[in-house]
Amino acid sequence: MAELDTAPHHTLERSKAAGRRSGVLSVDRRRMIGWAVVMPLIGGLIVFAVYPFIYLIFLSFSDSNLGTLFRGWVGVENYTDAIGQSKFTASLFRSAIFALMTTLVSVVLGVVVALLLDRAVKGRQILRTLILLPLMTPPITVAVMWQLLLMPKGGWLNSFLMDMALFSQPVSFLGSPTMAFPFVCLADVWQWTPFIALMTYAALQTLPEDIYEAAKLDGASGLAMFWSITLPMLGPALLAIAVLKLVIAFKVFDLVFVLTGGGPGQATTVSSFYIYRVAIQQFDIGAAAAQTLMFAVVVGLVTIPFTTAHDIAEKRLS
Amino acid sequence: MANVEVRNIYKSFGPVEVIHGIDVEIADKELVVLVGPSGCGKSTLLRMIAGLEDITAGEISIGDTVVNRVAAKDRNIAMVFQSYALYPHMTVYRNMSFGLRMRKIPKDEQDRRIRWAAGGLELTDYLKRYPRQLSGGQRQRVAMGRALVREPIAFLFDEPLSNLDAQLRVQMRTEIRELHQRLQTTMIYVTHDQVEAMTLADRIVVMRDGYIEQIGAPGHVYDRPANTFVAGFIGSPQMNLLPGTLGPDGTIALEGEITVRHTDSLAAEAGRSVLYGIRPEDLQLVGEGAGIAFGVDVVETTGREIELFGTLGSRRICVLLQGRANVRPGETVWITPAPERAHVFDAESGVRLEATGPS
Repeated sequence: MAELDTAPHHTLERSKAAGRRSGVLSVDRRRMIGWAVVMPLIGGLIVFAVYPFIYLIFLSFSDSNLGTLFRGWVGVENYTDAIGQSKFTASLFRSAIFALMTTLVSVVLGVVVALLLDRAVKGRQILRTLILLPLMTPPITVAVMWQLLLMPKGGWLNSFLMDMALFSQPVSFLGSPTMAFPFVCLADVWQWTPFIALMTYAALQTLPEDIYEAAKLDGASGLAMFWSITLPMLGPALLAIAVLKLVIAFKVFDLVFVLTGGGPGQATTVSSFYIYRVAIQQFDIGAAAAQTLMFAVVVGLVTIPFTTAHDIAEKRLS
Repeated sequence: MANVEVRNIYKSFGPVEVIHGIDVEIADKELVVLVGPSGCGKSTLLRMIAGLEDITAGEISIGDTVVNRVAAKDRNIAMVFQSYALYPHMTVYRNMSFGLRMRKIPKDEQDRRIRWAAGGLELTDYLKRYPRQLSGGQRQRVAMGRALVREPIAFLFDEPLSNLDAQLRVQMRTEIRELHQRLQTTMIYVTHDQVEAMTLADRIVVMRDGYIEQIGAPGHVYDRPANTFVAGFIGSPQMNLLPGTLGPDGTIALEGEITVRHTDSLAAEAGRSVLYGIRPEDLQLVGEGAGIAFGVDVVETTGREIELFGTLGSRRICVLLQGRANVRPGETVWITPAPERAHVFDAESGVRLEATGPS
């Protein structure tokens, strides 16, 4: 009995001691531990983000080429030059159009595919794997494949159109100033729609079933269900996916490089490709740095409305 | 007319059969409560009536129309979900108007119905709010309002009060009962809470493991439970069930050489093993030596009544006393059961032996 009586005291004292210990920790050491925990991240950010960014800003005000960096300071000359070059400003515009177009089309198609996938009763597993194929294909292979498809001689599309007697002459899709850009967009949409479909499908799985049941009893079905329930509830996820796709589209390089090399003329020269040429073919690193920063501003201007809309939509649903 | 008839209904999920051929008839304007422990199939049955689950076999008809092949949206039934299932991206007003918009009800009629329902549910000040800006009780009201404005032929409730705190639950329970009296519309209500079932229902359907154990008015189910399951499930604290043997002269010999009386003529069955059932409130304290000695282990006071727990023979039993009594744990008190309130069940099957219990 005596032992039983003292037992609670022991526990109490032990917990008091623990309290004292953690009380000491709470002021200085806890702060130190906090810093120690975030240091790796801060360090990583400094090395991989802050430093390169500052370096880029410095470069953009300098006369630098591939051989010698920082040959001299030129002030804002790289910027004024870039604004003066209609080819550069046109590439910015083209990049924005490319990003918005491919995002719009692939998000719409992605949603359709995700809904079909959601409805599919049998073979969902196989369908999902099949749909992922374009995503698993290396970008350069995607580009080469589309090049082969679109070739004037022996290309599948030309053969098909001529077999159907729609065309009498083979057409160089990628060589045409009007058709090259849409076809590069098409290749990009083909490559990225599966990714968007998969993300959308995952988002669809998180929508609560009982709300659909309530809507069903309220008389909703088919399109009404989609417009009134699915789309508004999917909104935040779709906007987040769209931002991701926009950024991916702004970074496009390999497709343009392999399919058209930016041509014909400047028809498919998006900013990423234009800047690559300035830096690697003209060796003008200073100008490329200034253009990169201006390009970043455009990327921001295009994506910020989407992130804002995402925040609003998410707040409304939470 | 919205009588609901469930005829020989079976439901299987894959190879697992969860409802094994049940029949229920629900009259027009009746409030029927389906009650039973988790997994008894009550929600599944409700969802089949709503059209949210396919029917494996059997027939369900609403207002004399077989609805097996009628889509949920065409059954003109409204349902209130446990989770409320409000549309999070719509205001209260839009939530309530959704079903009307889908059915293309004119705008001014929509508005009239929403104002009417919101008035009755004290939601008028909240019509422009979003569900996330409301408390649990208010959300529950919106869910009810959404059902009300539809003016459906029947209301289905799937454990609508389970997510509310105890006080609100009691209040909403009364409101649902009032609503039913006012609207005079068929209501089917699912709950696992037997108190909710007793207080709300015109008739109770007690279910277990996909079978119906008993159907009847709350008083009838309470006073004449069809078997030991119903006897134990309905009523809190639970009915005491003690094993015994029927005697020749209206007596039952319980364990520990205790003899109790019942009022029915089961003399022909003498010698049969039975379970003697007596509700805690049907046991009374009597003077020392006048009844059965009962050692009290635990005393619980609710304020209105006192529950005494202890052991009789090998079984733990409960005695419910009204008012005040000065009984302490460890004491022995003397109790006597009211013979006319006794229930007798077959020991093996658990089925009530007829002509017993309060009439």
